[in-house]
Amino acid sequence: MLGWEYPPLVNGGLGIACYGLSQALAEKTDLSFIVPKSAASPKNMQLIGLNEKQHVAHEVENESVAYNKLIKMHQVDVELDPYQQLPLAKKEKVQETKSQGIFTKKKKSKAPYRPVPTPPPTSSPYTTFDIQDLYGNDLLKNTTLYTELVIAETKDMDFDVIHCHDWMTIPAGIELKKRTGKPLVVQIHSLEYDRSGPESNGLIFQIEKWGMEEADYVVPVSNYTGRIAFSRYGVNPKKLFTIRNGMESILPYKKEKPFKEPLVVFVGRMTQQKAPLQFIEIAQRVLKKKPNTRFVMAGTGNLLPETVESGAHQKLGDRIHFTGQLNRQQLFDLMAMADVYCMPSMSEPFGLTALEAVQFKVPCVISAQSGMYELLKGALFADHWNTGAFAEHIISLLSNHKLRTKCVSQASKDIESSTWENAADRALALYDKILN
Amino acid sequence: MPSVCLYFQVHQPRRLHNISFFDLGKQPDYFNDELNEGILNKVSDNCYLPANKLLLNLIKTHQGNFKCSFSLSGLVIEQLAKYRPDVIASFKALADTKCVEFLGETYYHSLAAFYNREEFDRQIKLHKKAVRKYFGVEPKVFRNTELLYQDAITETVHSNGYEGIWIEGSENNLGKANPNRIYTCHPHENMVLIPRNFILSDEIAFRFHQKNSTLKADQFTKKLLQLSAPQNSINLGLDYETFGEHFHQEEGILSFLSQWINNSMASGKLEFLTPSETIDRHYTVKKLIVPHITSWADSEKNISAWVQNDMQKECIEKLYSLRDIIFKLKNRSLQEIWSALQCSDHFYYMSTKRHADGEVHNYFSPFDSPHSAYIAYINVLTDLELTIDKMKIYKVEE
Repeated sequence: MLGWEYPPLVNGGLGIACYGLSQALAEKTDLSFIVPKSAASPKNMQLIGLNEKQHVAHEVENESVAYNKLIKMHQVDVELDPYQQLPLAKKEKVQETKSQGIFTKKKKSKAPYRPVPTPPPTSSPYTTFDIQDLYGNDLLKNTTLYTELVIAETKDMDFDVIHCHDWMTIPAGIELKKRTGKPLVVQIHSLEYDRSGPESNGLIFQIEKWGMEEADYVVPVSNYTGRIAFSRYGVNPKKLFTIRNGMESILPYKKEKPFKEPLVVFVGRMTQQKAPLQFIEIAQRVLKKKPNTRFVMAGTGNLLPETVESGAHQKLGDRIHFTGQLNRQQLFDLMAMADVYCMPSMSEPFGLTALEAVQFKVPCVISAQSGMYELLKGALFADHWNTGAFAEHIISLLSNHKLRTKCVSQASKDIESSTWENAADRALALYDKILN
Repeated sequence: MPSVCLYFQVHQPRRLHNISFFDLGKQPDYFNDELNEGILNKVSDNCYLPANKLLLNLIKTHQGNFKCSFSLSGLVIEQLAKYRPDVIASFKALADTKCVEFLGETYYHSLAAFYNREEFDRQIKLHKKAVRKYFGVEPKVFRNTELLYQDAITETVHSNGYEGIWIEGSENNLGKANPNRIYTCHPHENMVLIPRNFILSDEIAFRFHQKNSTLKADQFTKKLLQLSAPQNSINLGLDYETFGEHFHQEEGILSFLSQWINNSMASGKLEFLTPSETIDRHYTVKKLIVPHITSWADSEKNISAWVQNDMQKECIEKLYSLRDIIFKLKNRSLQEIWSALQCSDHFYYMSTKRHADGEVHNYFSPFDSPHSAYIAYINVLTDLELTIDKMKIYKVEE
């Protein structure tokens, strides 16, 4: 498996999903998982760019996570100078691809495989894949570098299926398929369409499209995402094979709020996709009818400043509380206090956080443009642009106790089958289908 | 004879902790007093003590002919009294020479003048009391927070017995009038306005050391002498922290200070006067009418450094809306917390101005962004409100 993030170094749902799926799969099959950077290997606890606090957190978390399972985590060694030590590829011919190349150099030249962006070799070793630059400006460069290193790493490895997660690992997956002839599975946790809206047509979109074309199977995390892959990326529906995420089972608890007002919670990156500004509007609408309500917005992102200012503009700073990025424990504490969970995302492939809310018995109001729409019967849905409907749903849940109970108990039933074991079984079934 | 009137502003806010949502209701300490104490110690050792010593020596050397004035906020006085009584003593020693005047201001270095007249009045009185207590002198000239000024505030200042007010010598106060003269207030014409010559003052405060060039004492004295028309009063106002903190001693800022003062005295063409003496000695030119708020801050020289964007507006309005209930509860510690939250610095950190002004805001802010400053502050207000709510219930049960 090729992935980009892995606990405890995670930025969002991708790492958590990769962890859940791979842990469950590792119980049933031999699995190798390659990520750019991981804090899992005790050898590599010196993480560049991480402060002391996070460092301690890793140590604690490592103990609770069974890293010594069958998974072989391939930690790319930052000390090696990849460009100089990288051996030339053996199968030069397979680099000639007919696909729309992102790496045009590769397509046109028959010369030995060379990295696309080649900084002048320096004596200092690369400090590659700091967690910060996993999603930094040099994402594309890192993706390329990742591809390089994956090829080097898998040179003597024996495997049957290549399974990659999201666009950052797609070039590596394709490259590996070309070299080895092994089948390629591309799992889609989130698409550029989700992140940037219907106008998305940039480089990342192209990589995704390329990957899904090259893939033997495309695995969306919901039928909703499958439909986008079909309608926006033109993926052959016969290649689609949905594997829904499971969830980490949580022992729910309740926590007393420091105030008496009901609490509505938003959790997510403050980006266009998650619609934080929409949430401010929803809050305003709720407050008009129920002035004694409070809101928490947890998460950070490029829209955070604008969202904060928009809240202040409406003079809601004492009603909408911003927490910044939360760790797991803080997130759980927040869920344990919440009265309603609200997810107004513009497009949400799955919506892992909603499953957490459900486990905490928090009723949910969710965007209809999400993977949750097909999973949760016990949640209220509204089209993401319809802030009025979101507000009405929230108000109903806050004032109608019967509705609350009904939603919570139904949602609890809905998620019973959402286990990583089931997800792993689905994946195995897919591998069987491919190999036999 | 033309004269130089000099004041140094001494102030340190009580900076806040990064209070988060998860701290609400847990009676968190709002103020990061560990940080505050650390900064106070650093500034005391780098600036207050060495600079006070230097000024005291100058007074002795020139046998009482060198004079200047200080404006210490109540917040810095109370922090010095708590952490650095030695610094209080060194200011007292300066006061005892009778060559150093102490100015009046708002105790909490606040914007109360524009948000609550009663509160403004209370803080002027509190501050006067503190100056009397620690330095044994009676302030006669007023210097509002960051030279914020408007006709409307003169009434309260006047009723507290002040004879003059420092203002920024900028066009929005003076029009085309000469900044090196003194003026009278509108509508209280028996109060005098002393405009700060910001070009010369900033020559030191902002431009003392730039890239590779350092301002020389000779050059500066020359600039002063160029302005030495007989009726002129060259009024300079500077953050005291300029001397040893904003610029370090190694850059020569302290020797610069003593040199230009010595040079000016030696020229025989300039004398140094306290603000009160300046008011006594010089004739006023005319009445200044200032309907809009002015200040010494940023390029706009108005209130926009503290109250401009939505975050700043929300916080300050919310803060003053709590005043009535805070005083009704008659809880001393709550009153003090609420009062210290009025300190203008908190709002200064929330400014989203860019470019040169933004850089200055950023230099002073303990937060990583204006938004973090806002979140911490609004969380404090939220927690304060929760505390108030609890106390209200308690009071009713009583």
